[in-house]
Amino acid sequence: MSAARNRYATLRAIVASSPVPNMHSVDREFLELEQLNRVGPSRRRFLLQTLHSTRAFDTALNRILVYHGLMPEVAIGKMLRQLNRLAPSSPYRLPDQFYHQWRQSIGNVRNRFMHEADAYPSNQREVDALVGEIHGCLLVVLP
Amino acid sequence: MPNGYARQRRLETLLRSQLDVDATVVRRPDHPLLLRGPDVLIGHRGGLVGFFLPTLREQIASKSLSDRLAMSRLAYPAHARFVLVWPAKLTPSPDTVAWFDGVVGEDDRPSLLRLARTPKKLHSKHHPGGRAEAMAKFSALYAISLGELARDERPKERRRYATVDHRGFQKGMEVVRFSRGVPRAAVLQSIMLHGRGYRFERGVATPTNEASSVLAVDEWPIARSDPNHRIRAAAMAGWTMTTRSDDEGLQAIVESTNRAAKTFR
Repeated sequence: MSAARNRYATLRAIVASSPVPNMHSVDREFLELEQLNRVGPSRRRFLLQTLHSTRAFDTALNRILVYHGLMPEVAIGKMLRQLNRLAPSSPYRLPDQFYHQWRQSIGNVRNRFMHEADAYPSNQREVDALVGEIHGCLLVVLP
Repeated sequence: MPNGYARQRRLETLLRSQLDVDATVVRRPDHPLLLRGPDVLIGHRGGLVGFFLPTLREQIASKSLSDRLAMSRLAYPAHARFVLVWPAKLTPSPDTVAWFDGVVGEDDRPSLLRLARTPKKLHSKHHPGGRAEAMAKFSALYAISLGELARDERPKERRRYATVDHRGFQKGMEVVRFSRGVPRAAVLQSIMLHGRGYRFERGVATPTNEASSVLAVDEWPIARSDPNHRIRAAAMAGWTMTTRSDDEGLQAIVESTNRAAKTFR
C-alpha cells in the first residue's frame, strides 16, 4: 500500500469509528482522494486533491461542531475559531497557536484556490503539505 | 518465529478475510501525529482497535513498547482500544499485560476476531489524562519548528543518512545534534520517546513540567506524501526541530522552546 493510501485508510478507520454522526460523506471524499493518482494533467490533479481534501475537512468540522452542540459557521476559519473557543479542559479543543496557524495554512490557502481564477497549486509538495496539515488538524479535533 | 512483517501480514490477512466489508483494516497505520503507533488498526462503527505486535527487541526491553503505546493513547481518540498480540508459546510479563486494554495470543484466532469486531466491550484501562495540555504544548512546539523550517531556504540535497553526533544539555534543555545528512524516521522515533517533555509510565504519557527538547538536524526530514509529518510527530512528542548549528543560533531556539514550554508549567 502506498504511503498516501495508507494515510487515507488510517483516516477512514478513525472517522468510521468516531461517535460524531453523519461522517459518511467525509469518508467518500477520502475514497475519491485515494483514486486521484492517475488524473492528468498534473495541475488538474492538484486542484482536485485540494478540492476533495478541503471539502472533506469543511464537512468534518461542521459535523464535529454539531456534535459539540454548536451551530456551525460557514467558513473554515470561523469553524476553527469555534473549536478554539471550546472549554480549555476539553480534550478536543483547538489550541490558540493551531487556530492561527491552520486558519492561515488551510483556510486561506483553500480560499485562494477555490475562489481565484487560474490559481493552481504549483507542485505536488504544496498539495501534500496542505493535505498533511488538514489530516493533522482533523485528528486533533475529532472526538 | 516469523519476522515482524510476516506476523503483521498474517494478522492483516486474517482480519480482512473475516471482518465485515464496512471494517477498515490498516497494516502499519500512518497517523499524522505519530511516527509509529499500533501495527494493525481496525475501524468500523463498532469502534476502533489497534493491535500491537511487539518486535523481538520490545519483547525484551518492554519500555519501548510501553512508550509506543503511551504516544498512541495521546494521539488516537479516547474511544480507541489497544490490544497486545503476543507470540504463541511465550508469556508476557504481568506488567506488560497491565498496560493494554486487552491481551491475546497470536494464534488465538477466535479471540482476535472477537476483539476486532467488538472493541467497545473492552474497558479502557488508562484514560489519557492531560490531552488538552499535551495538545497545547504540541501546538506551541510545532509553531517554533515551522518557523525554523520557513526561515531555512537551503535546497534539499539528501546527501546521506545522519547519525546522532552529540547529546547534551543547554540551559537545562536536552539538545540532540545530528551529523550531516537526513535523520532516518526510526532514529527519530527512538530519540523522541526519550525526551523530557513527557513522563512515560506504564503505557501512559503525562506532560511533564520539565523543559522540552531540541533536535538539531543538518537537513529537514521531509517525508514524501506528508512533508511535515516527522516535524509534526517530533513536536507531538515534545521536541522542536532546527537546522541551526552555530552555538548562538542554537541558543536562540533553546530559549524560544524554553519560553514555549514554560507556558504549560
